[in-house]
Amino acid sequence: MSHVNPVVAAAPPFDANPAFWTATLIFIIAYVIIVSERIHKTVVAICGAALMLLFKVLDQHEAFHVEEFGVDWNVIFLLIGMMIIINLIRPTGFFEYIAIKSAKAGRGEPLRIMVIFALVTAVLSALLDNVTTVLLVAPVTLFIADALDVDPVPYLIMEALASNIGGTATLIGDPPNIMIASKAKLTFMDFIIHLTPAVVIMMAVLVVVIKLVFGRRLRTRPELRQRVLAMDEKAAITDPKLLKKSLFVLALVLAGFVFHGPLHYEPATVALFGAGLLLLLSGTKEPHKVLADIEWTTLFFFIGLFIIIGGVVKVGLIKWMALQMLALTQGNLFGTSMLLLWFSAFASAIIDNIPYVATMNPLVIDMAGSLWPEKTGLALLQHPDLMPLWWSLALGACLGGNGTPIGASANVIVVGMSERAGKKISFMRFVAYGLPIMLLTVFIAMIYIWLRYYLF
Amino acid sequence: MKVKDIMVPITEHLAPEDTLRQAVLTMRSAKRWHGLGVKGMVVLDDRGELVGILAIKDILRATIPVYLDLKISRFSWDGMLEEMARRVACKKVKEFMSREVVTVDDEASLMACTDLLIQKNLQRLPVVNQEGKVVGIVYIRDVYNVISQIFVDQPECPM
Repeated sequence: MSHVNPVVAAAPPFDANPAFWTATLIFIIAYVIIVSERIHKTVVAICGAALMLLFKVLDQHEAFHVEEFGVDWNVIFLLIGMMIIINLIRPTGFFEYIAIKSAKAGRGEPLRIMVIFALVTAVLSALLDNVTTVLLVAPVTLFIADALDVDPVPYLIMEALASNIGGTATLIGDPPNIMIASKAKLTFMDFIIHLTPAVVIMMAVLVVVIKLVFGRRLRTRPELRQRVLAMDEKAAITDPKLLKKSLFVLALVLAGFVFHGPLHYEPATVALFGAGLLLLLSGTKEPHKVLADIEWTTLFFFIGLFIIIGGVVKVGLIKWMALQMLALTQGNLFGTSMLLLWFSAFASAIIDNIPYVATMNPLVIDMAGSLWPEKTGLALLQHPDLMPLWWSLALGACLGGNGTPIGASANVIVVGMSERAGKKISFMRFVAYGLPIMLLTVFIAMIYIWLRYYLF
Repeated sequence: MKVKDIMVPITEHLAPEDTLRQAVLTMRSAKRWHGLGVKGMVVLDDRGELVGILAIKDILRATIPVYLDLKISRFSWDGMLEEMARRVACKKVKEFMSREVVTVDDEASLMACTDLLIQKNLQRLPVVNQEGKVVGIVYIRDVYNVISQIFVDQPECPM
C-alpha cells in the first residue's frame, strides 16, 4: 500500500470528446476483427491506421514522426535488418547442418534427440526469430522422425514450446521483447541480465519434464539409429564461402548487440549495419530477391498497429485503462506485477501477443506517469520500481504463447507443417502439452520475479 | 487433320476414390499400340465429369514427403523411397492427381493442339466434345508420329 498515489483517485479519467469515442471505436472494432480472423490482420491494421488519420484523431506527422503516438521505427528496422541477415544465411545450409549435427549428437536415440532439438531450438530462437527457427527445424525433425520411425508430433510440439521459451531470453528473441525494449529504452544486456537466467531455469525444467514424460515411451531400433549416424552433416553446406562471411557478420552483429548500450547505438542500427554488410559481402546481384523475402505483411501489421495504438494513447483511453489497473491493485506494485504477468500470459495464449504488447506498453508508461508525475525520460521509463513490471510483461506475453496452438506464430507453423505431413495435431493435443508447460513456466517466472525484485 | 482424327478414344479411366495401387494396376493393363502401359490417365467422377489427371510424375511426387527439400533429401537413407512408396500405396488418387487439367476441343486443329502441348509442357491432352464430355486423349507421341511420317514421305532433302 506504500505506493498509493493521489493521482490514481483524483484524476479525471479522460476527456470524453468525439475524438475519444472515434479512436476507441476504431481500436475496438479493429481488435475484434483481428481476433475473429475474418479479415487478414494486416489489412485490418492498415485500414484502422488510415481511419485514425482520416478522422483526424492523429495527424500524419504524429503518426509517422512522433515517438509517443506513431510508428516505432526502431522495431521496424530491427526486424528488417534481422530478416535480411537470416534470408542471406538460409541458403548456405547452415541450419540444416546444425540440425543434422544435433541428431547425430543425440546418437540417434529418440529421447536424447528430443532434448537436444528442444535446446537447439531455444538457443536459435533467442538469437533469431521464433518463426524462422521452427521453419528451419521442423522439416528436419519430420525427416529424422521418419528415419527413426517415431511419432514426430511430440517433437514438433516440444520445439514450438522451446522456441517460445528461448525467444523470451533476449531482446531480439521475440517481437514483444523488441517492442518493450524500444519503448522502455532497454538494452540487449538488460534482457540478458534479467530474463536469460529465468529462461535457463525454465529450459532446465523443460528438459526434466521431457525426460519424465517421454523417457519410457520413445523407442527405436538399432538399425534405424544407424541411419541417423550415417548422415554426413557437412553435405548440408552448399556455399562454404558465403557461410563464413555470414557467420562473421552474425558474430559482429551479436557483439554489436552486447555493446550497443555503452556505445549508444540503437539495436536497429546494429541490425541494419549487419544487413548492409552481409548484402555487400554476399556479392548478390539480385538484392530485390533478398528484399522481397522480407516479411512485409508482418511489418505492415506492426506499422498499422502502432498508429491505431497511437490514436487511443493520444485520446487518453490507454491512460484510463492504466488507472483502472492501478485501482485494481490499489497501487501495490508487486500485485500489479503479478497481475500483469498472469494476465499477459492468458491474454497471449488466446490473442496475438504483438497487438497485446503494443497496447500494454503505453499502458505501463501511463501507469508510471501517474505514479511518479515528477519524473520524465529514462528516470520515468526505467524507474527502479517500474522495471519488474516490464519484465513481468515480457515474460507473460512471451510465455503465454505456449498455452494454445494459436498462441504464437511458431505454434501455428508447427501445427500447419505437421498437418501437411499427414500428422494432424488437434487443438486439444497441443493444449495437453502446451498449457501445463505454460502454467509451469509462468509459475517459475512468478517465483523468479518475487525472489529477485521484491523479496531481497 | 483434326484432334478427333488422331485421338485415342477413352476406354478406361480412374476414379477419385481409387487407391494409388488400383490406379497403377489399371494403368498397367491399359496397354497402348506400342505395348507399354499408359503413363497418365484421366480421372472421372461417377457422373463421367473430368475431375483430374494422374500421371506417373504425380505418383513419383506422392512418394516425396512434404518436409523434404533439396537440402534435406541428400541425407536420405538407402531404402527411404521404398518405405515411402509402401506408405502411400493405399492413399486415394484424388489426393495426388493434378486438378487443373488442360483439355482440347475435339474439333480443334492439330496445330492448336501441338501448340498447347508445347506451351504447357504436357505429355497428353484429354479431348472434350461439344457437351464437355471427355471422349479421348491425344498423346504427344501420336502428334510426333504425324509429323515424322510427313518427314519420311518427303523426297530426300537436297544437300
